[in-house]
Amino acid sequence: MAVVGMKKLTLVGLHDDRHRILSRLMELGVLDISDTEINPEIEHLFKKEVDSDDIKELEGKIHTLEGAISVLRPFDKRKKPLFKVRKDMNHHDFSAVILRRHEVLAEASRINRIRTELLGIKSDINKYNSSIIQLNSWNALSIPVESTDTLRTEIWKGMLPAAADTEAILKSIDEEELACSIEITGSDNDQTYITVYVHNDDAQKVSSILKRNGFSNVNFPGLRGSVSENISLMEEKIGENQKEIAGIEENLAELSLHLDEIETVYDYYSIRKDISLMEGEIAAGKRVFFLEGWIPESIEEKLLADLSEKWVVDINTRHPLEDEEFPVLLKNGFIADSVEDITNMYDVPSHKAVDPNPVMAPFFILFFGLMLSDAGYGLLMAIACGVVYFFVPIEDTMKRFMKMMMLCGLATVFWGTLFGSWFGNLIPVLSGNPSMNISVWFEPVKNPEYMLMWALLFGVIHLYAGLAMKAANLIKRKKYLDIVWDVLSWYVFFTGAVFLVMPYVPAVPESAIQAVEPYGIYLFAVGAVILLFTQGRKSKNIFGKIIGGLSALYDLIGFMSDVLSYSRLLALGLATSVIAGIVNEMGSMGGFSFTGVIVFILVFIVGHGINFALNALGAYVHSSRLQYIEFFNKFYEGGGKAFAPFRRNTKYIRIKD
Amino acid sequence: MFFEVFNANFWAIFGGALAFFLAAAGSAKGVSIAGEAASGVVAEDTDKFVNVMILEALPSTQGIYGFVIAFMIMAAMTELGSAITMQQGLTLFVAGLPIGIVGMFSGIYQGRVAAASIGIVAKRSGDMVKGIILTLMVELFAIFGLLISILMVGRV
Repeated sequence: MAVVGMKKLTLVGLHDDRHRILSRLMELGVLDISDTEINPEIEHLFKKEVDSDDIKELEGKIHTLEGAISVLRPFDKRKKPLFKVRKDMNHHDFSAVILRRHEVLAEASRINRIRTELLGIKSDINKYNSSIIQLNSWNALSIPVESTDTLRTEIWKGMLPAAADTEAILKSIDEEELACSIEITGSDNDQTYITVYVHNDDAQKVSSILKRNGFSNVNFPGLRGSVSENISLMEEKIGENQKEIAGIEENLAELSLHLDEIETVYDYYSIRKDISLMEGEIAAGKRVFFLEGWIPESIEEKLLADLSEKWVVDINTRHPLEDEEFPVLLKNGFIADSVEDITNMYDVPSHKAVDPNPVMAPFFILFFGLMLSDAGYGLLMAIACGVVYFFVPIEDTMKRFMKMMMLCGLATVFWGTLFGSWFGNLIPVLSGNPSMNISVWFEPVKNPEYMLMWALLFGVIHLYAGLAMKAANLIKRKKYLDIVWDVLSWYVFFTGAVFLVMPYVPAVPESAIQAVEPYGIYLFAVGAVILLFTQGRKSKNIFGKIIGGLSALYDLIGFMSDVLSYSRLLALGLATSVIAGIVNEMGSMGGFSFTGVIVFILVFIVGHGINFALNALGAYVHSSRLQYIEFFNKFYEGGGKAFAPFRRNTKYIRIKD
Repeated sequence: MFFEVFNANFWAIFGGALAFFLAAAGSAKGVSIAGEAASGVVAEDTDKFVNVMILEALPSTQGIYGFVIAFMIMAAMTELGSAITMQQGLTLFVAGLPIGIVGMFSGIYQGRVAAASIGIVAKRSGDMVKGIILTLMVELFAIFGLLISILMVGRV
């Protein structure tokens, strides 16, 4: 339940064992290997060797395999699970596939060639298709497409823009009595297609008239014969090509049975690439190499025993020095563990600070429940996520997420029961008495002001928990006196402020106000004075001290707006139940008849489905926000580096021992 | 004559209509601003669809809030029945305004922040959460609008 203690490890081994030791370390996956620093004293003995040829070769192979996988993927007929998960594979099967890696690689290259071929055929089809479109405009052409002249005439085929006045052009050619005949062979929105027969003597003049009007010449390189002949020829070719594609695709579908193997070999080469890259990060000498890294304290012994049993190695470990940064690995219980990813999305906790997850988890989960606030939705969510969590094989990150959503669902059931909301007011509506109250505590829809008071109170508790976390951080650093100035005085100050504003918050019971209000002013004053004198203490000059103290008092406004921000707990919760109520009302309009029941079921599924999706998303993001902005703001120290052990980073398979 | 047509019921309904119409119009605008940016990102990289979709959905809440208030106003009218006074009707009208007006503006502006945050996702999908936080900052005011409207309707 906290940040795991780390030890710095230095390993010296024989150069010849280097590859095998790294492989073993990767297999164990417990050591976060740092980029080794070679200090100047031993610079002449050790250097980092990056074998870039080897890496390039491996990358080439990975690229080939990747290409083959992407070609085959559309033909993949393996059963696809709902959640992507790497395939488990034992050592024996893995080695068996790896023995055949060269064959698999050759096959992958062949598949890549097939893809190139396929692309060529497809581009041919495109070419034919566009030619056909072009030729279609010339369908009425009465002469062979290749004819450009006779003994005494020239023949031009071409287009005039639709905007050009074709009639006028014909007329002007007529008027000049040029020996020319123009045939309009077709037109569309953009152009008019014409064929011009002109006597050689007049070609110059006609050409200049046409050019002036935007005439552009068209040729049909490589084509012979009539337009319709050409079109049917091309269509025939397209048909042939398509048959060919079908054949190739059939072949690919057969080849896709080898996807498992190709993916395994892909992972094999990416493992090898990772090892080669790592070899470039460790210090290599002539006969020995050394590397440094961080290892969780608890696994240290096991790793030591494992390595020294197999190879000649010298391993030293030590605790981190004062102020030395080490990678952060968190270890938490069942509940706190589930929200780690939420925290890490914000920032990885600092190695110097207390792990916030155990405190944050209950707040996150309860606030989520409070904002979704419908027991029916919560129950469905808890069951669905629970089933996935317990019974469906999924990757770790997904598993944690499912666990978190399951817990959030349970919290939603809890609040929903308190507020009497099961799919909104479904039970009262079905029982024919919409005003029936089935809440264990009270109905926020009927009494929003009361709920607002509680929402703000939950906010104050959350913020106070944030301050307590700050105290915990200070304790970890043994700065005990700072707790008095930076935590306790804030508690006194804020509590005084809360007491003072209580009469202005709706629905606060009169007795509570009378009990605490008289103390408010004293707490407020005492807290303010302490803060005024202490918050500027880190400043060197007197002005800094005064301004530090005064600006601390200004933080009161920040605190108040933080508290108000928790009113979203009420607002989002109400939104869920009001919309759920509207869905139920709309559904039950049909009355209790056959069609009425059908309508009800349809409206129920669609309406509640949408309402659930929108509000679950809202609850998730707003609950995160309350942690990030309001809670973390009080104490959080991020900037940690997550523990990233050197391990097999595979995409498709998981090798089991 | 004037007050026979524009009676208490009219004003209450008008308030509900404004609450929904303004807030939902704001949301529609906001979501469309974000959606345009989102489509651009998806065109480049389909894998980011879910990330940008979440961001795009954020400005849609104002519409929901307006919907809630419109419904609450109608519920209040049902409760008051024909005994509704002119003053109650006008109060309900005014109570619909906070979420209507604030919802409209916050919806549009939230959409702009969402679109900008989608730009973050386009560059680094890992930083989506930061974009969500920035976008939610705007939402707080819509939540306040909703809250004030709820409390006001409750007072009638």
